[in-house]
Amino acid sequence: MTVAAIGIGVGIWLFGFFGRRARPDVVERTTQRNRLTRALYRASFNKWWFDDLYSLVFYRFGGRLANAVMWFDVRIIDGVVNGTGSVTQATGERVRHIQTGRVQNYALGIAIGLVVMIALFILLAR
Amino acid sequence: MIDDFLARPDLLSLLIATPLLGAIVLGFVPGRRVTLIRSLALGTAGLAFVTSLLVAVSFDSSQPGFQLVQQADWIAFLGIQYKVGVDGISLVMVLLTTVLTLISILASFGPIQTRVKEYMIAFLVLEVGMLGVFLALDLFLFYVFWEVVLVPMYLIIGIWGGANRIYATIKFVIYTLVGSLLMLVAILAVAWSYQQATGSWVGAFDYETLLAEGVEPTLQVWAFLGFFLAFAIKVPMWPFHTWLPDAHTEAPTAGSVILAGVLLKLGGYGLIRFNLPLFPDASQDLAPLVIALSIIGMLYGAIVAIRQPDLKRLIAYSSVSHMGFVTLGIFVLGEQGLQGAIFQMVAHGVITGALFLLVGVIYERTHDRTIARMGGLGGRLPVFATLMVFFSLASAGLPGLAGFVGEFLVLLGAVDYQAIVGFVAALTIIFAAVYLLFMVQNTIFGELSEFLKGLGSKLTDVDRVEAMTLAPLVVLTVLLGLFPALVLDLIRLPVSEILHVVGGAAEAAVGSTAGLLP
Repeated sequence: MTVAAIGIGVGIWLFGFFGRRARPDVVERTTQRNRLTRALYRASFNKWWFDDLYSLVFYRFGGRLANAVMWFDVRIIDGVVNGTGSVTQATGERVRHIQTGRVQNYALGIAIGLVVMIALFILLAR
Repeated sequence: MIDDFLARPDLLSLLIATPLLGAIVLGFVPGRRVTLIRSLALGTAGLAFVTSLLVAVSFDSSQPGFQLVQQADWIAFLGIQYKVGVDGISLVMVLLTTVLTLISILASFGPIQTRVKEYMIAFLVLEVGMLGVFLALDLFLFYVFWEVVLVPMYLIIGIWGGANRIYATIKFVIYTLVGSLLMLVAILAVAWSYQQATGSWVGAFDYETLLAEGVEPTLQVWAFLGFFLAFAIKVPMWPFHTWLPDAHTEAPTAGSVILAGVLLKLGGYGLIRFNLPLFPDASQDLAPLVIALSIIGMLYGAIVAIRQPDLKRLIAYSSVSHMGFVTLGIFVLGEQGLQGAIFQMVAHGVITGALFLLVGVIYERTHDRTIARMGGLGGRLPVFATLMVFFSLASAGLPGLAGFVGEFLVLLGAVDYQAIVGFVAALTIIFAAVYLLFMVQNTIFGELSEFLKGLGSKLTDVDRVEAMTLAPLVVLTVLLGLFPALVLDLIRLPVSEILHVVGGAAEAAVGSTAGLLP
């Protein structure tokens, strides 16, 4: 409270209020006194560069990050999802040729399977 | 007369049956009598809403456990029952469902002009499924209702959707099916292990029995993962979320409202109802993993939302972000977190539902949702602009509106779990402000865009029916924001009951939540 009151008082003295004359000479003298005060003046003139910081972090950097993440989302994550679908479809497309409808082919398959099972049975039984 | 219905033992069955009966009746109405069909559908949804209010009035929030329980044998030799009951958490979800269904059906009057009869039947069947999921107390019955939800939604997106609807709806269905089949396996494993332990199938699928008996610790992790995948896909949690933007973009407006408003909550509800109390040890062990996924999802969804060119896609990704709050709140395993998660589900349902309705308003006039083509709507559509700003701010979590309460409670719970988790989660809110203000800036403010100018007098403000769909959501957003106790009082007891089950281990694993447990 006290700090704020003093600040307001100094502000009125320096910049004028309701007819009170401003004192640009005092402002000039105080702020240009040495390097530190000049730097502080510039910083406060630019609102401590908060707008620029926000713009940099959330607009520039955030925007680039958003682009990168969006690329990742579409290409990688959704790519895996769609890829699973494509692989399944492609496999089905290939494998469906096995289903010929010819009984002889199926009988052959059953015979081969039987031989494999018997072979495994003999091998594993030992 | 109302007294006859209060606390009737079959009130919940009546509630589930109401939309089903409505759908059956609609089946006998000739398809060309569009007005009659619409009124019947609206009347049915209204009746279901009134019935859900009767449930709310009959409900006593000071009683622990489930109320209005009704049960009957179904597949007796496996112990499968028809068993429904309501506690505070399901009551809140049921009310959300009946309100949003009523609004969605009203919101479909204008946009849906083809196959109105089939559409309305699909919507009422959808309501049956959603209510069933929230009320089922038998795991098998729950699974059946869970799948019932899928069919009408498949049709709603696939028939009444946008240009790329077939791709979106197939993706939605296959994704959800993968999850729910693993959940079925987990349900069977839990029931089988119960049968092995007790030698009887009686109660093997009964939620309350399993809760009392507890699930074998060795089975818990696998069963947890089976349930978790189904729910994580539905919520959707990162990285299972990519079906959501597609489904939202292609779905008709009311479909998006129900999808965001209720269907996503089925996942959150499932995690709370089944994962936490049935598998408490696994919940403890896997909580850090789920929390990590939630945090990733929250930030990721918010960041991706910033760069979405399409209004619906933007809101879809914001849903991924907001639902991350829900899963985070659930798995910090504290009272505030869990209450916040449930509140956030309700708030997100109301607010995001409204945002989709608003996008629908623009789409009806422009047949476009590209943000780049919008701009300057504020000057021409003042009512629309006001509502858009209102719900965007609500979504960003402005204090005093519904979105704030849930996020705040979840953040409290997260900080309590680990300060860094809470801090990272809070960053999400900044990004939420970025994409929401970006959306508002590019649609509402500035000069009217050339594209919109070209529409001339077609660009009209919110009409009477649209206002009727949005007004209740405005009221709810303010009401829940100012009086969060409306929801919190209902869920307080069931939340502490659930945490009590997870509790013993919670105090050992996470020291800081000890003071919050009953």
